[in-house]
Amino acid sequence: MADSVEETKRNLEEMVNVLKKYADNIEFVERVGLIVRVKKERLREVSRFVHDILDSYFRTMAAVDERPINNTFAAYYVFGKDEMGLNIIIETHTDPLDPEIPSISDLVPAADWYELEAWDLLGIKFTGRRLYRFILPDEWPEGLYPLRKDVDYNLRPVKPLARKASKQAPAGPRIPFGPYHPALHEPEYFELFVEGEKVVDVRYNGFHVHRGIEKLAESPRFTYQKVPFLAERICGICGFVHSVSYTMSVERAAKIDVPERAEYIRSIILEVERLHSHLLWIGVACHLLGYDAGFMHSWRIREKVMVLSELLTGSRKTYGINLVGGVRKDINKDKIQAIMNTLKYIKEEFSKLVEVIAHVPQIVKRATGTGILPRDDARKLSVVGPVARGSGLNRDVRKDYPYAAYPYVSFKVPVYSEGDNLARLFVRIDEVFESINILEQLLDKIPQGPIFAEKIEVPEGVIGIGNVEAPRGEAIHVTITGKGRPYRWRVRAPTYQNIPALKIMLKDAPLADAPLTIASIDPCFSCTDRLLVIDLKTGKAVKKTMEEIIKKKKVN
Amino acid sequence: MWLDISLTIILLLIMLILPPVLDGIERKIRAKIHSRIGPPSIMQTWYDIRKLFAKELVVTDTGYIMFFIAITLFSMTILALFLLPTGFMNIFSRDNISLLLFSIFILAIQLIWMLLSVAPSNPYSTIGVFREALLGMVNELFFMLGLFALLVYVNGLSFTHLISTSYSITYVLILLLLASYAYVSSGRIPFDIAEAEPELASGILIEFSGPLLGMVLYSNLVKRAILYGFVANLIILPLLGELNLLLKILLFFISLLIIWIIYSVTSIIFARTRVDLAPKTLFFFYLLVTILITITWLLRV
Repeated sequence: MADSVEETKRNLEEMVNVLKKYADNIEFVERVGLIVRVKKERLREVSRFVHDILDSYFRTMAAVDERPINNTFAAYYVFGKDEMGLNIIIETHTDPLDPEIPSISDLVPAADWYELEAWDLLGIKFTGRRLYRFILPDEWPEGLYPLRKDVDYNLRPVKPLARKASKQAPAGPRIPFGPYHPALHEPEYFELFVEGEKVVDVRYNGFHVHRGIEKLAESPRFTYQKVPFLAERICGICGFVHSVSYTMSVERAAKIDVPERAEYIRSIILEVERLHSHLLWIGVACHLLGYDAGFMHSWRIREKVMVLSELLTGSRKTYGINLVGGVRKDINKDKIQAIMNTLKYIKEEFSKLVEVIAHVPQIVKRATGTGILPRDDARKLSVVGPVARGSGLNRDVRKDYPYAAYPYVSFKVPVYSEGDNLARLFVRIDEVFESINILEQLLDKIPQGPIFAEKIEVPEGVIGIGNVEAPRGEAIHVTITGKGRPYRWRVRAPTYQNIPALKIMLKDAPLADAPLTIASIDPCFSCTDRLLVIDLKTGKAVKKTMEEIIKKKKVN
Repeated sequence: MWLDISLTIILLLIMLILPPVLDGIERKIRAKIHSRIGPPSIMQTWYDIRKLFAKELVVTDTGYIMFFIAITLFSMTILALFLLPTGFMNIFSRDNISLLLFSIFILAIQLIWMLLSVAPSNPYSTIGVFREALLGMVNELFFMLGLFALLVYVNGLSFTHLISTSYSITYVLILLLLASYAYVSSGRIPFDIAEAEPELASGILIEFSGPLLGMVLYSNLVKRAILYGFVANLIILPLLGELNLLLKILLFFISLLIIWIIYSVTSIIFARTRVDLAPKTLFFFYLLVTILITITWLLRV
């Protein structure tokens, strides 16, 4: 153990010595990582070194309007050296009047979307690449960048219109896959170009329901302790993941010591959420393959998890028990017993279900050798979660960047090298059993004590990174603290990292397997969209409940 | 004479009412196996059809063609139903070429299904019909071979010839081939690739809604009843002998119910196959059965 710590220190020193050649300033911040401040002209060199030579994964990038602080636009590129559990944050700044940063998307393909997003929302121009509208609707006014600090959070300059189809379509029939499709449970749009039943190209057209949650959190309506509830509404399935990820980023920035018992409770709920999500996904996968018996039985087992969630948190989903500094609900002996009983039921029933699923010939045949993501491509795109582990990458934030109570339990990270739909199915099946194992250990070891930190003080202008291994992969939140609320809160859900891999997975595959392949990344596009009614005459958005709409329709 | 006509009409009416009810029973059984409650009553499919007929008619540019083809499909299905014996040899099934005519109607219904899918010119529907055609190439081919074997075996072209037929290994194999054909043709999992709801958003049915969808779905259920009724006749007609007429009718409907349930339970244990796998699997299965029929025929067993 001591040797390993010494070795890590040595490696870190070596790394810092090399990075000094490029950087203006290097700082190691405890609980955050290594911050490398570079001039934008050297960004490409450093990125290449960190990504290729240091063999780091690209984790996220937060672009920030820092004009009110230091009259610049800033970009924080977060790379991860998984085996050392180290974040390498490359910080660079650019001119406020003509913000330009050299693109690194040719060196780090995973950075592609982040640059497009920063261009769309902050107006930072990335040179050396093609920039186009990515997130904002087509009719959004040119030159209006919503994440800039001088744009009000509740500005609604346009009436949303339907997204247009792509202008330059390859020759041959085009199959529209979405935005409304039985295989997609959220609005996303894939254009599949086919030859017969073979998919020859794929175009992705997403962000149909972007809700501006990051901007909302910076508004006066929110405080540090209100944002966890907003974060939980990012996703209807892995909401707690986002809530914990956010609170972790603030706690790490502010050096808040969360009580151990609270960390255990968070881990327990996170694993319950994983069980729920994987059981849901296995059911959906069975349904997509026409095996509704598997679908129904998987969801029967999942129902018990939801009942358990209600007992532990008061809600079947969107638990609302997490805060910066700890949790709001404790777990007593009766609840521990209830969890144990549910785990026993799930273990028995799920084992039977897996036995059956593995013997349905069509499932095995259709999942084998389809939707292949080779290891090299997975590495280049820095994919996360079961998608990475199904392609032979041993990545799991719970092991690589330990948090909450995960350092106190032992568990295996299932890795399969085939890279196909079956591999991703097996990863999730194995993870259900591992989750049960983790929960048993957590319940056995949960310590006594408080569930909320004694002192919560958040200094201004500090960066914090929170990461949680969601059922779909790593969710990572970057928070730059402000006065009473985040100055900038950057959310990166796992699907954001995994969708670019679909182009590779779908190409040259049978059309029939496209729904399964898309589902195999367990996509979570934009779950809990608020109800929004647009008055077509005035173009104004008004909030109404479903009851009000039904009532109005009846009157009319 | 009048008794024959009355009984023909009554049984025809029963056969028109029964398919959605049998579907309702199937839905309840399926729900039980899935560990869920299912529809509130076995009449639910009828309620669904009634609801569809109560909706407004919304059609695409090619709506009138679709309407025309849907009417033709419905009429052809009813004509096939006229020829089907129901334990009782009605005035049409007694005809000298009733079995041959019935088979021609069955093939025609399959063809009209494909035409119906081509009409909307929707990409999902086009893919659906391509899949249907690919599967049909194997399925219909072996249906014709199976039918040929049956006609030779019973030494006639009418349903009445089935009554005097005796069971043998050859006959059981012919029965297996035709029963498999009925299963595949009724669009059940794993062979529902033309509709494949999560893949093709209902494929061949994507542009249908309201009364038109109601008519097509109802025709499909009646088609199922005809196909399964055909299998039921192949099984029971050689066994009925001199039984009481009411008992014969009862036996037919019990057989129909059992076959329907067996087929529905079979579809539950499988997942959907893929268009490149389905014709291959079917071809090898049918080929094996056909070879066995030939061998047993030559050996006279």
